[in-house]
Amino acid sequence: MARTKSNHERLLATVEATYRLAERSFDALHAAAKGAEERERVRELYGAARDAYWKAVLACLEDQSGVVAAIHDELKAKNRELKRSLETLRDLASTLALLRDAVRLAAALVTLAAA
Amino acid sequence: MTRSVRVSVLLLALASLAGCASSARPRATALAAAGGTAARVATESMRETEASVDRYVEAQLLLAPLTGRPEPGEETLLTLRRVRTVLAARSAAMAELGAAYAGLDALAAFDSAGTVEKGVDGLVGAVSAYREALGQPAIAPVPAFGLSKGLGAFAGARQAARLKEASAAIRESLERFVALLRKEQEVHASLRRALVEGQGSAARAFAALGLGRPGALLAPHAAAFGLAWDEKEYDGALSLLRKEPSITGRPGASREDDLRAALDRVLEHRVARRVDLEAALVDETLAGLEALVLAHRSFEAKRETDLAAVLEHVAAVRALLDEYRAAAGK
Repeated sequence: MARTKSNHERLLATVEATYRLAERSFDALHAAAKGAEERERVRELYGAARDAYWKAVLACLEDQSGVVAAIHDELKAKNRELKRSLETLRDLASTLALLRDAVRLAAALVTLAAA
Repeated sequence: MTRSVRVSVLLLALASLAGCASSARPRATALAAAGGTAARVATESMRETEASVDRYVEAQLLLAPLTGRPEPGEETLLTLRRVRTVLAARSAAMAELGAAYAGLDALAAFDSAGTVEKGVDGLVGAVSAYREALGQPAIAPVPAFGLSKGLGAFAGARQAARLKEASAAIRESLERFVALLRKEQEVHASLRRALVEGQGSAARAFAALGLGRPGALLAPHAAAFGLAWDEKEYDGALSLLRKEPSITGRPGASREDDLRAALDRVLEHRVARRVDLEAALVDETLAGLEALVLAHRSFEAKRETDLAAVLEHVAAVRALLDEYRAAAGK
């Protein structure tokens, strides 16, 4: 039966995409990290992506406000950018910056959309 | 003349009542059999997911020291426990659905009311528990289900009426369950994907560390063309590969590394395949239950009951479960 996705499903799918990108790329990012500090950053970002996802699973996410809708759009765009960046992993610093932005947006989305 | 017409009408009425009962019983038996099968397969599929939550948590705990991933925090572990509670309530509802169909079968076979009454009560309670586990307000308590006692003077007609009554009671709970499941369909598919990805990462980490023998993974490829996989030869072959330089020409890498890289690609493929199967499993399970609701409605309206649609979805879920298990090497 064809049906349209609810708000929660659409928002969850985007947060899931961030977590899956973090999951799939963790080993490569961790191996490419230079020094303990950068490795710790990779760990923290991965943990935050995972936490945001599981929080989103049980939350009831709604994008009624313009702020949530804007964050959602920004996260979708950031996920696309991150995916492209992870494919080549040419510049670790910029990839990590993209991951950091995506994770922050995902966490903000879950907090604001569940409010 | 008038009297003979009256007698004929009475005989026709009796014949139609007998016919009604005689056609209701086999139809109810067939509905109970198809429903029981659908419930069993759905339970199996849902229990698979329930068990996946624990495997995911264990995988995360194992991955932490092996790969550098952080252990999940208390809040995430708490969320995962809640997810498991929801999944357990869901599979419990399906198990109760199976018991209700066993009751319907007993009612059709022996006109035994007790089993179906108990089955329906169990189902109502389990669907309500599932609803509460999802965080939705509990529904008002309903009185225990009891089949009507005086539905017709003739035993056959009374049984037909009781079968219809039991079918409606099962269907109402099934409809409530399907509505909840439909609402959760995408979320369910999403969390199943996440659980598989997490477990897949652990499997790949083990393989990269040389843990986990790949015999079961390689054996079918050898056996497909008549070769016998000999586990005892594996270590010897690995020692030889370790001494040879990598075919990629990568400095310091050996052909053993090539084999590990190839195994990693196969595992990656299997994880991706299982992720695809997750959504299909959820869709087919739901479609099977929706077809079952329609079959109940036809039965109650004394129309032809299309059980083929139910059984098609059941077969599809079974095939997906088999493929899913094959992808997991089970």
